[in-house]
Amino acid sequence: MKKEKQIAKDEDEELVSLCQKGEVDAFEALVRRHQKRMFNIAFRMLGDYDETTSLVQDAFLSAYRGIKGFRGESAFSTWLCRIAINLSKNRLQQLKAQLRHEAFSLDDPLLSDDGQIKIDPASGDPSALEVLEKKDIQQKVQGCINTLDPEFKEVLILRDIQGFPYEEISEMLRIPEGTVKSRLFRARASVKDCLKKFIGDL
Amino acid sequence: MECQQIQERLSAYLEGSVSPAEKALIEEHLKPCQRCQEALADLRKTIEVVQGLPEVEPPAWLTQRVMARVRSEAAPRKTIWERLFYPIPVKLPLEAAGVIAIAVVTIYVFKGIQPEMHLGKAPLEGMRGPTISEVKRPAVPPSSMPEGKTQEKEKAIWGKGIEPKPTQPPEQPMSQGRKEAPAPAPAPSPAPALRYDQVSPSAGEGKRAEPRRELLSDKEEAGSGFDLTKARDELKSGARPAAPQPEALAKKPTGQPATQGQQGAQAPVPAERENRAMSSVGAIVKDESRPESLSATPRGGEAHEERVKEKSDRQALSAAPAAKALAEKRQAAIHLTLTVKDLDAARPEIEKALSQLGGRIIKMETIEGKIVLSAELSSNQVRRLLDRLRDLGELKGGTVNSAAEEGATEMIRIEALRAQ
Repeated sequence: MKKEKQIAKDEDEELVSLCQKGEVDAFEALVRRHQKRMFNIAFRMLGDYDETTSLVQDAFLSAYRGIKGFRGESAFSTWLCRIAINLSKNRLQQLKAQLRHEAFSLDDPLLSDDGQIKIDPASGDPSALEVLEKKDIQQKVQGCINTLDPEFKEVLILRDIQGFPYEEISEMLRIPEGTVKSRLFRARASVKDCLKKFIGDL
Repeated sequence: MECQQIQERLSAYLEGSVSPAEKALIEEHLKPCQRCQEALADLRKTIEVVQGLPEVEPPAWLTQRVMARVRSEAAPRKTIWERLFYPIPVKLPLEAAGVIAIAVVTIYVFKGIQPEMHLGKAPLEGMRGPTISEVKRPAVPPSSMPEGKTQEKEKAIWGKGIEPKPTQPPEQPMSQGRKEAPAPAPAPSPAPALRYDQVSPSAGEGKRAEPRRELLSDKEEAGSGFDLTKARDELKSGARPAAPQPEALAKKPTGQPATQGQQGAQAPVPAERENRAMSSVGAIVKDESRPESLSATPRGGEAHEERVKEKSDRQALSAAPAAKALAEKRQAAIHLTLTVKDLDAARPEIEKALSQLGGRIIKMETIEGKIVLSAELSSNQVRRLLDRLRDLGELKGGTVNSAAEEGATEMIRIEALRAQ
C-alpha cells in the first residue's frame, strides 16, 4: 500500500516537472489522476454537485497557474487538495453571505438563517429510521456535515471520508496534528448529535 | 470522571490514541454508565456512516472542460512570432498586407521606369533651323563627342533587346548629312512620320495660324525657340547635367543648313526613340504655328518628305508602341517657361490653375531647382492658363496652336524656374 503510494507520488512528480516545462498534456494526465478525489473533497465541503463541478475546474485552473511555483515541498496531491479545500472554504463564505442577503431560499432548506438545521417534521418519528432508505441516511449525513463550521468540516472530510493520515492533514491545513485531532473529535461529536436530532436513534 | 468528560474522550478512545491509564479509566466508567455506552455506540455508528459515504463520480466531461480552460489560458503565452503565424485568424490579414505591399511597390517601380514615355518634348527638327539661327548666340561647333558617349550610355541603360538598330542611325545619317544638306534626319521613331502625314498636307492650317502668330513678338519667338531646344535636350539628357548642354545644342545649327545641324544633334541619340517620338510631335507643331519657316526653307520641307519615308521604313522596327500611341493621341504641345521668385510657392499655384481649368497633370518632376510639369488641357482653356501663369511670374513661350480644332486636348509643358 505504501509502495503504491510512493509510485504514484513519483509519477506525479514526473508529470509535474513536465508541466513546468510547458507540457500541457502532462497536466491533463494529472487532472485525470486527481480529479475524482478533488471532486469528492469539494463535494463534501460544498454539498452541491453543480457548485462542485465549477469549483473543481477553478481549482485545477489555479493549480495550472501555480504549478511553476510548486517546489515539491509536499506531495503534489497534498498541494492540490489544499487548493480545493481553500477554494471550497472561500466559496462557502460567499454562499453564506448570499444566504444572509436572501430572505428565504427554497433551494436550501437544510440551513436556517442562524446556520442550524431545520428540523424535518417527519424525522421526529422514531420508526422513521427503519423506513429510511440508505440513500436518505447518506443525505442526512451530508446535511449534518453541511452544518459544521469549515475548519471542523475539512478535518472530518479529510480524515474520515478521505482517510488521509493525521500527518498529511496537518501538512495540508498547516495546523498541528493535535489541533487536527481535537477538531476531528469535536466534528464527530457534532455530527453524532446532529444525526441523533435528525433521525432519532442511531 | 464525569460523563461529559468521558464522552469528550470517546473519540480518542476509539482511535486508540489515549494513554493506557486513561483507557483503563474510561473502560471502568463505561461499564456501569448506560448513557456513556450509548454515546459510544452512537459515535461508532456516526463514524461508520460518515466513512461509508459513497464516492461521488465527477461528470465525464470534467477533464475536457478543465483542459479547455487550461489550454485557452496557455494559448496567449505563445510568443509573438507564433501568434503572427497562427493559422487563420491572424495570418490572413498578414498575407493580404504582404500582397498589397508587393503590388504597391511594383506599381511604384513601374512608374519610375515609364516617365520617359509619357512626356513629349519638342525638339528642333529641320524646319526649325532658321528659327534657331535667330537666337543670337555665338556659333560653337557641335560637340558630337560627348553626345556619342551619352548615346552609348543610354544604349546600355535601355537595353540591347529593346533597341533593334543601335548603331545604324548615327552612321547612316551622318554620311548623308555630309553629302547633301537636306538629307533625311535620322529621327527613328515612326511617330513623327504619322504626325507629319497628318499635318503637312494642310498648308491652309499654317495660314490660319498666321494671324495668331503675328501677335507674338519676335523676342518671344526667339525665347520659345530656345526653350524648345533646351527642353528637348533635357529630355534627352535625363539625369545628365542639364545646364551647359542646351546651349551647345542651341548653338549647333547656327550657320549650317538646318537639317544638318539637326542631324548633328539627333544622330547620336537613336536610342531614345520614345522621347524623340514625342519631341518630333512638338517640332511639327512648331512648324504649324510658324508657317513662315516652311516657306523660308523649302528644302526643309523636302527634308521632311524624305525623312517621312525613312521613318516609315523604320516604323516597323519601333520598339515603342506606347510612344507611338501617345504621339498619335497628342494633338499639340505648348511649351512654357515660367520664371518665378519662389518655386515652392508657385508649384501649388500652377497645379491649382491647371485643375481649375479642367486640365490633367500627367507628370511633374523637380530637377535641380526647377519644376517640369506636363499636363493636358483643353485647347480653348490654354489662353486662360497663360493669363494665370503670367500672374505668377515672367512667362515665356506660349505660342498657341490655334490650328488645333476646338475642344482638342493640348499637351502643355511648363517649366518653372527660380528667378536669378
